[in-house]
Amino acid sequence: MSTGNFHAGLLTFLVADQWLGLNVNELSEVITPQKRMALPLSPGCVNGLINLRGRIITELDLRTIIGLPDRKEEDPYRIIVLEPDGNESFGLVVDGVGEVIDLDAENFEATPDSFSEAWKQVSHGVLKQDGRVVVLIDVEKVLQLSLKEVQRGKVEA
Amino acid sequence: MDEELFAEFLTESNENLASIEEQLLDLEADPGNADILDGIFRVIHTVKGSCGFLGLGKLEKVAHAGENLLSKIRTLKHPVDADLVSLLLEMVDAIKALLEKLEETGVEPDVDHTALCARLQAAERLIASLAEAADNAAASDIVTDAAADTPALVEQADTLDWVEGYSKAIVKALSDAGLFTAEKVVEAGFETLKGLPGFKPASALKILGLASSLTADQESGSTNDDVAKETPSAAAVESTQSPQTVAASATSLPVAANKPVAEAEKTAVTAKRKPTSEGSIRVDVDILDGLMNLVGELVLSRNRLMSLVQIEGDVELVRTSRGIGQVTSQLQEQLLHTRMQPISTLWGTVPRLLRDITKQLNKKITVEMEGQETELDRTILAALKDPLTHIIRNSCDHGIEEPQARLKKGKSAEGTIHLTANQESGFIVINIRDDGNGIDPARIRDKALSMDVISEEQAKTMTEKSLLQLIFHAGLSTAEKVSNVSGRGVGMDVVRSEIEKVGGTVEIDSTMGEGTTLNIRIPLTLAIIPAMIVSCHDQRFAIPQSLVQELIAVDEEENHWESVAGKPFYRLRDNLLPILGLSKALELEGASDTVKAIVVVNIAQKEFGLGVDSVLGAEEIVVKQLGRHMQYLDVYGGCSILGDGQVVPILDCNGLGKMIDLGQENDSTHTSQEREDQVFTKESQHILIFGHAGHRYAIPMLLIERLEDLPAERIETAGGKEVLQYRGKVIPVLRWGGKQEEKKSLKKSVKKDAEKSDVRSADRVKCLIISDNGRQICLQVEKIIDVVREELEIKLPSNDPHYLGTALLQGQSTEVVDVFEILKLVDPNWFTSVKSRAEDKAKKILFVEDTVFFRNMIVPVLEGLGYTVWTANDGAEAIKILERETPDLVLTDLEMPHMDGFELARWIMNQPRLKGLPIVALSSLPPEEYNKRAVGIEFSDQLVKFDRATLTEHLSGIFSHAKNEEIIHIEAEPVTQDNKVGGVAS
Repeated sequence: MSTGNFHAGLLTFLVADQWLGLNVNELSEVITPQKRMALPLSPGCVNGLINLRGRIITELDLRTIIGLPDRKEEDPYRIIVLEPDGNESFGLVVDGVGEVIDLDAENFEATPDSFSEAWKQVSHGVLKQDGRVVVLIDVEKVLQLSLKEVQRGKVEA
Repeated sequence: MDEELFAEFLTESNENLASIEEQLLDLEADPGNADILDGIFRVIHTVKGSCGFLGLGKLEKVAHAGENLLSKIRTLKHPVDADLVSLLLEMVDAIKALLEKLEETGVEPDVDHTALCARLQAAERLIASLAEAADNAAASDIVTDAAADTPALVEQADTLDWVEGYSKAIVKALSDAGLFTAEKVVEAGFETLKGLPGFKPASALKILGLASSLTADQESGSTNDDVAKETPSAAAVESTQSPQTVAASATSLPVAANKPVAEAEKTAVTAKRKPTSEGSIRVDVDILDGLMNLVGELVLSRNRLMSLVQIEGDVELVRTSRGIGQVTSQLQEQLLHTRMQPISTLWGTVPRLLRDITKQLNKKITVEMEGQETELDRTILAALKDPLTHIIRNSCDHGIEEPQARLKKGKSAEGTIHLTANQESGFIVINIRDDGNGIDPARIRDKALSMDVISEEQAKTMTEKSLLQLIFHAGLSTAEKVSNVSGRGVGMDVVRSEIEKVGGTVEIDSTMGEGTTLNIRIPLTLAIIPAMIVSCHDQRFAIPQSLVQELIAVDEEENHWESVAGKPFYRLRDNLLPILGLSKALELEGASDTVKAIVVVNIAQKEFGLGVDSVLGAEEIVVKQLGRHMQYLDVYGGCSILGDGQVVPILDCNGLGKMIDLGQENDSTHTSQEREDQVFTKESQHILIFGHAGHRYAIPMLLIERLEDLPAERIETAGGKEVLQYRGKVIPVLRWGGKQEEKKSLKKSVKKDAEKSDVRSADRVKCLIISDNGRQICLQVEKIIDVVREELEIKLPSNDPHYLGTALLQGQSTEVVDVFEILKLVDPNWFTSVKSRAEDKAKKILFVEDTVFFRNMIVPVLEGLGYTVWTANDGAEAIKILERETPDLVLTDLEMPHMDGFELARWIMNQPRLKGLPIVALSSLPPEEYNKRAVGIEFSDQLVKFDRATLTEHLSGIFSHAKNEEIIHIEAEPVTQDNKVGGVAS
């Protein structure tokens, strides 16, 4: 994967004390917590459905998708709105959102082996910049992972 | 190649091919029909032209060969037989295939059709030589004629006569641009033509095709002549140039001499298919979808607006927002209509399908269609295409027997498949019925058992009907032979899932030896639906209202609950309704069994109850798809946003129904529902039929409170009259037999019967407890025959005041009793003793109703309340009355002949003299239909037939308010100054 895709900038955000990065082109907006409707019998990674100016989008929990421990109820969070294939929008719950930084190709490395399986599944690679490690997230992989649980749900249902 | 041109070409050509196919089949049935032949020829001519123009050589070749063959058939008047049609159909298929590949890859595929072309040409020569053998004598004359004709050809190509069949505007545009000849047009090209005034891309392509064909033919005129040299009689005919010239040369043949020349020309040339540039426009489907989405958003916003406005309360605001609301509804409806196509589009493929299948199987099968104009949304049509093909294939393969077998059974050698479609309040109902040998439920049962689809237990108890439905289970097949046509009879599970995908249901019914029927029901509108909002454990859900049959508030005191095999049922009017607790089904938190309200849901004639906490109300919602993470959940049919901005899931009743395993329980407990073959019209009602001395009599059930079977001693005598102690009261008893003896018109035989069946000595007596406004009487009858639900139509009025007349119920003559006269027999003052609630002078009510029965029922009630009643049979009569007089209120039925209640209301609203006249609608129309038709009309009230108490209440309510000259609307809109303080009057 080339770093060329990240010309536009990288949005950094925090999940479980880990900084992550997303290509700014892949997201449409970041919103504050919305009133959500929890849909009974929906898969675990789906927190619920939210009304975003007339559109109904699925709120996914990144932690659940990767297999990290759940967020505490009272902790603040943000939702990053993604529209990966132009068809359906999703909201991805993250702990907090940082700044948009420029990707410096020199600082880009492949995903280290030392990373846990969870992160390895969704990582494009890492950026070691300004004294921190930012994991570049592959949105497609995140979605595929989330749908795996749906497959399991299908079999059981 | 230009994108737009290409797209246009593909659409055009596909349409053309479909048209050719259809017409070929018509021609097969009517081989001598010159018009059809002309039609086919013209179309293939156009196809050839367009292909040529676009440089699609292979396509052009095939089309050209076909065109030549057709031309020969045409001019030689060769009778068309099945083989010729098959050959021509092959050509159509070949072109179709080429087009498909072309569409896929963008280039003409490398398929070799020389064999096909050769066969087409061979057929051509064969026909020519056959004709030659017959016409040799006349041949020499014709050759000279043809020669004379050719110069004329060239001339005609110079003027714009070759553009026959198109509008004046187009011809003018061409001549204005100086494009007179075909060559000039071809030179000008697509872009230029498209830009001419009055030209749409479609028409540009057509003209180009025509021009191109003309020029091509003129160039290759020599090849035609070569062929002509072989067969003299063909010479006259070979000019495949403009249709006009062909007609001209055709008439030079002695054979065609019958028709007057001028006429033949005209009729031959006028295009059967109106050029599509005239009355319609081609719109990209994506644009329509986009519009639908926008209107959907508009509806949501409107709902939001309405709910906010209600809170505000400002009069002007309320009125304006209501105006917006109405326009939005109309917009939505009309937009929905743009996406609708008649089902004939789908069924059009069936004749061809049948032809191919029957040839393969050596069976004779024909199709009959009804309701072709019924319209469906195009996505549904697309979804039904495959299921329909499957079903028909199955019918042909496994259902309809071979001709000899059929004859042996006494059936006609030819089998028939009936296709019917019609609309039924919010649904499209499609039936596919064959008269084949039916499906044996026993075989299905055995198969299902052997495949472990059902248990031994179930195998024993399942009804035939439920067994038949098992055919939709994957893997089940009872066909003994595997056939090419439909495989192992598998596909029914796919059929069902395809139909369920668009929200429909399918059911199968069959009678051994007689045939099989498939019933498909599909909900009409896709995007915006009226829904019932319910709540369960503080969560809200939406249920499409078209499936909601009724709502029940669970009576805590009376215990209607039953448990059968561990599953909960609710006793509802002598039926056991299976209940699914929503909280349990969705595993909601705090899941408990206490159901406080039941929503009775009806899917495909099966009912079940959904147990919820409460029913919140109805709302129009826009159906949005659930995200892909939740699509697999079949208990949901989507989601929506309510007026208050909250997201709500939409329940899929099919999915929920599966959770309680509907099939069996319903069949065994709903015996009264099994009269499914009857059509429930809006005027049908429950009627009780009782018998006495061999005669049948009828009384509407809504007047009967109870049916009793009592020991004879219960009827006592008091004060010389017979009475019965009933629920703490003493009510008068009337004996039907006794009353009969008083009638002078009694026949002797009946009298004898009455004496024979002297009911007074019987041990037990059957009684009907008739109730009216809190008072009861007991009517003792000889026997109670049945309770039916039918339309009550008085066929023969009666002179006897005790009867309304004779009706046909259950196919037999039945005398309909006038209950109110009976009540008056008991007490002549039955009605007038009710205190009149009318104020001061008697109010005048104009009662408009076409059904004799209801008139006779309601008029006494109204008169009893002290009103003066004028009656009219329909809107037109009512208007005649209204032109002369002004009543105080109009009470009208909605469904009437000549002029219905809606039109009447509209008329009244336009009369300044009748301003402020309250109009009350009395009808049993389903809510959606009512709402649809009531747009723009302000009815004071809409009451259901026939609820006497409510009627009384509302009428007096209207009149007491009428003093202040207000109009009361159910939706609370204050009109006058006086009432502003109250804000909302109701």
